[in-house]
Amino acid sequence: MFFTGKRPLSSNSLSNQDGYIAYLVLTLLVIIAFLLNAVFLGYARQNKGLEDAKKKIQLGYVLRVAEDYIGNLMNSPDGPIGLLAENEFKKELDPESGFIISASRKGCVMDCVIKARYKDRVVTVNKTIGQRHKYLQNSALYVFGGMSGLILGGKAAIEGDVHLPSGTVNTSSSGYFRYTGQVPVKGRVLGDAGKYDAYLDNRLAMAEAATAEALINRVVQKGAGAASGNISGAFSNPGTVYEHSGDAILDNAGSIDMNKGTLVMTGNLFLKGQSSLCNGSIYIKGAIELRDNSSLTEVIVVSGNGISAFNQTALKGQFFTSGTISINNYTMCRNFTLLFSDPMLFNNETGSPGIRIMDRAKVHGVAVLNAPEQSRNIGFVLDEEATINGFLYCSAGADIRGMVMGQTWVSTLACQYDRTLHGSTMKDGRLEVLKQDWQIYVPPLFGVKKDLAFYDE
Amino acid sequence: MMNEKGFTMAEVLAALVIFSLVAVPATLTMTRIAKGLKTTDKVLGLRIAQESLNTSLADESERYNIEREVMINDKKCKIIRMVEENDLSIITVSVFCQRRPLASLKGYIFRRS
Repeated sequence: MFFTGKRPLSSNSLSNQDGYIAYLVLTLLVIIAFLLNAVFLGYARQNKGLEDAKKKIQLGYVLRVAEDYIGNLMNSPDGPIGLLAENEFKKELDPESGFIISASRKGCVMDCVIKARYKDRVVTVNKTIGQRHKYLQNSALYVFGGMSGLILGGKAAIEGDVHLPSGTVNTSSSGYFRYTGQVPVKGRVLGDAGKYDAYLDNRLAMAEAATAEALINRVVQKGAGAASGNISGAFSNPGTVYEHSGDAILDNAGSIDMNKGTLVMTGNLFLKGQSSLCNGSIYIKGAIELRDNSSLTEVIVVSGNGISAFNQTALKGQFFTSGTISINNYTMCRNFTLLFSDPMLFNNETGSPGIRIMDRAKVHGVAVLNAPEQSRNIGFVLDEEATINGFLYCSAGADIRGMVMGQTWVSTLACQYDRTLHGSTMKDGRLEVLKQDWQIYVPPLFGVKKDLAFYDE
Repeated sequence: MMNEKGFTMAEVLAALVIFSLVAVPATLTMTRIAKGLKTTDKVLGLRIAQESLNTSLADESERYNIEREVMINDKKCKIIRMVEENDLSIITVSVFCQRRPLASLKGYIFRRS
């Protein structure tokens, strides 16, 4: 009835070219349907995005509790050894979530793979387990021996908090120890060292030493039966264990890639002029000496009788010995380097432990001297203009005349002057706290209750 | 206007009436649906649940059951935190808005041996 008489409303309208109104209504319906569709699709997409976000957040919580679980295991009596003993630890948190952890050890560095699951989503992350003392982040010096007070002489200076068993920090301007510095301590001096646990857990180092000792003993038993030829061509196949009887000298031998192999020797190893070994393990009954631009990089070294580096050599990796580690003349220990000296590293054998970082040498990493029975002798020396950028732990007497940028843990500071040993004294030297929590990797070696940190690989 | 192929006023009016009859309820329905499905509430709910859970995980004194009110987009909403204490403690934080669940997250804590 709305139409003119010439165009009656009938089913013919759709086929009638003049029936625009039907097309108009249809078009509108299509538009409305399209809009509704857009609303619902948009909603579905947003909902999926939200669900994805929720899964990601939940996976974060599962990863977090997995790290907590590792912390729990590491603080159990079996500690890291317990964690390494199993292939994997599997834990179901609830029907929707769970995780699997597997750990591995390279020297004192522990890596772990965490597989976290939430509903249908699984994420795998590789982490390196380290340590970080959350309460001592602004501390430059921590003295855990029985000394009372600390006297600073020469140009000694400390930037950061100082923790002593008792007493205060004083400067001495009399006798041998004339203090010539300006502001000796920029930080708090606290008598709270007893609160913190300075126990060194050397089980990871012992595990590496035990592996080395077993392989070395095998070569000793073989005697002359083991090879004594050229080391340069011994590592063409990956993972080769090359046994070498007696000493070896690499002189201008170029760069030797060990292909993740192992060199086991009964004698001493000398590297001279542009000789370098990298990417493997070196187990030696004797000593290692590097000279003149030679290098040992990406290696785990266990030496029965000390490690010495002279004249612009380069080191990178983990170096264990029951003898003395001596780093000299512009030698650079690149990040990350662990220098570890402990007289009890090998069964039934005791060495002469010590660490000496001399003549503008630089260490980026961690130096550990574990020799508490030598607390009255100077076992650790950091020479003038030598630097440690990282962490120093020393349970023997320490003489610091160079600079530690990071954190220093010592049982006592001692200064030798005119053949007289003066305890509780730091003559010259500079200890500076430097953004430790993220810049320095510290292996899980310290403290019964470890404050663990997880570093991305 | 004299061309027979054009629309008459009556036709246009008729089309408008039909369109209005369809469009007005459709628009109202769409608005109502869109309001009901508002995802911004859910995003905010998820964020609030995450913050609350993070606080509980970081701070031991924040690990107890609690129910409190918050305003989300001018609506009264509720945060409910439930703590199941065990060797493995489970903290569940849920956010509801007018009885409609917006978000729920679970965090876990191992008790140190």
